Amino acid sequence: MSETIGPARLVRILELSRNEIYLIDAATLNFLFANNGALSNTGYSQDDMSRLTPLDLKPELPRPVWERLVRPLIDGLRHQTRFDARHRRKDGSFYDVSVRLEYMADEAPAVFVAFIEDMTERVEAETLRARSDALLASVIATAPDAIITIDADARILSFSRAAELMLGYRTAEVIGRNVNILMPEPYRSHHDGYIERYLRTGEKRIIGIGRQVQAQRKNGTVFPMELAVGEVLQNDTHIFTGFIRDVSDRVAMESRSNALQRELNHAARLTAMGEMAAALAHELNQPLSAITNYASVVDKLLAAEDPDRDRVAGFNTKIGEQANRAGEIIRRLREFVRRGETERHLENVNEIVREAVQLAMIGSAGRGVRFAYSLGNALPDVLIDRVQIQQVVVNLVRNAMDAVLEELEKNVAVETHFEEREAVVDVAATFNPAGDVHITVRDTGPGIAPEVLPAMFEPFVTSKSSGMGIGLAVSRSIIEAHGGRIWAENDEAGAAVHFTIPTGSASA
Amino acid sequence: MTREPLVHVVDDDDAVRDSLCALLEISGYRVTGFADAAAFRGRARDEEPVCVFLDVRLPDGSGLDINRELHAALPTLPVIIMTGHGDVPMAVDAMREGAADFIEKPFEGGRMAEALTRALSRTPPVVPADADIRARFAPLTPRETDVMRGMVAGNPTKIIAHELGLSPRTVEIHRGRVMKKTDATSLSELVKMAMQAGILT
Repeated sequence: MSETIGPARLVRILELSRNEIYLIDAATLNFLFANNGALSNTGYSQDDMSRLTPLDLKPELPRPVWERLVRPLIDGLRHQTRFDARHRRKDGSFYDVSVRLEYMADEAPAVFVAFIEDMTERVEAETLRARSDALLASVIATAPDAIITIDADARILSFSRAAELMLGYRTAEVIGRNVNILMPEPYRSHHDGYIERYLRTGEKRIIGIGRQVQAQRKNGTVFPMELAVGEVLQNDTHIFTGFIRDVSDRVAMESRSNALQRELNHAARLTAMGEMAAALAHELNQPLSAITNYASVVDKLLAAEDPDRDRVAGFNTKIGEQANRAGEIIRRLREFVRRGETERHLENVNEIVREAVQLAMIGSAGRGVRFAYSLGNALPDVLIDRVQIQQVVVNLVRNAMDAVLEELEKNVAVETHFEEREAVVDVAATFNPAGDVHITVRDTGPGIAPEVLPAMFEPFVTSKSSGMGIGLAVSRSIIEAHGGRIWAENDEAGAAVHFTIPTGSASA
Repeated sequence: MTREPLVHVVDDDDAVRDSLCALLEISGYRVTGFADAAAFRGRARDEEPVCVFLDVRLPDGSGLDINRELHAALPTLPVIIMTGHGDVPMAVDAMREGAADFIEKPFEGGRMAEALTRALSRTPPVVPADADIRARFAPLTPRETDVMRGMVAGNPTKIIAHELGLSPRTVEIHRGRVMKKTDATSLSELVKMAMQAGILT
């Protein structure tokens, strides 16, 4: 090997190397030799260099430290010493270096051989990583969302400050424990299964989707949280990161707002009731009058010497019927006003519409309003709150009746039909085809004023001198809660209000 | 054989009509019931009744129209108006247009028979001279007179109270005094007296 590369070439290779190589007089510390790499990195000339020592290149390195570093080499205790330092360039700037120093005293003068590696890039990369680690740590520490990472065995790897505050555990208590301690039953028992199923099937049920779930604090209290899960695959190991947001406040607000909506619906029904109270009294008068009359008849029959028992019994039956009729009126109204949770069942719209129209018609005798039904055949059942939908129909029919009051043609028509949607082929569709049940209340009134039409479903918009203008707004909120739509239009005859209820509507 | 006197009942409510017919029949009348104005107009002239019970609200037209037509054709035929809740002003209108009396549903026991008896006696049982009638209103205080005017307009207590700025309770007390001082036995009688005294025109 040495036969092919002569000493001259060896010197040239050392001179040309991009690494800095120095020979230092061990006694004076003056540079005896600095190669091209050294000159180009430091910016000094060969001439400059001959007047310098390593301590000039490393002004931050105190001489006693240098001496401590080289002592083991001189004493023959070590062949090589390594240390990190900073070189000052001729222009005054610094760069990081890694130094390897050897001592050679085989011939005089004794020298140190220094091999220098420019560390600038490596240091920069490390600084960057340290900075990004710090950044990540500060993000995790200050994020309002709690951040928890777990491995594929559900063991907790990290637990952020927000997680500590939210869940009541100290990080040290939970690291390495199964994350299911943070959940109430039944999720606690099922969670390992969820991960196992995901790893087996790759089917994502929550990763990248997020959902509202229940969390359990250390003290056992359960609260609703929104969970988003991310996944990282590192060296074939799954790491899952959970971002958790406490949504107790939002859920509480939603439930308050739902309660308010229920109150409003109830208030609207009571308002409708107020309007109907006079009508109700009139409606009740009919059976009560009949009962009084029949009772007088029975009195007279019984006053005879030999009462006709069959006739008495007949009239008595009629009294019972009329009492039931009065009771039925009260029952219908009470059901209508009843406060309560919304309750949805599969119902036939035609049946509900007929009942609601009867309710709306109470006390309308003598107003000359003609009602017509055009109810579609074979409407599919829809999932609805019966009382709420009746409230909408009563409202629309009463509005229609008011609209025709001053007209010669006092016609109100209620129509239902089914509009099939282009259905995907689905076994279930044969039982309950996809589409909308469509209900229309038409009147032959003057129509809706163009300026009212766009806003008529907004609260407190009313064209009536009496009334608060909440009926239609409540109607809209009810229909929209059922996934349907409500709108109004004018046609040749008068006004028409339409609403739809989708089949299979199950949105709460 | 003597035929029992004929009474017509016009009311769209099947039960009210049927029960009233039954009561009139057992009280010794022949009765024909009609469910609406059209049916009644078609048959009313077949045989002249002694009295007509007429519901003020009918599905195909106002009972007031029929009352007016009957009074024009048969001025002496007593028509007894039946009213429901809130219809008293309509009944008062009917009285102005010749109706003999009105009764409010649900009928108080005996009120129907009393109205019929009175309507059938050719001369009203109490027909004091106009001066006497006016004398009955004389003892009313100004406040009671206000309340009385509201009453004979057919307004319910709450409306009167609202219009006069009084509490309904106070109006109730005034109403009682009005009835007592005028010696009226029913609201319809008070209305008739007010008409006779020229208070209600």
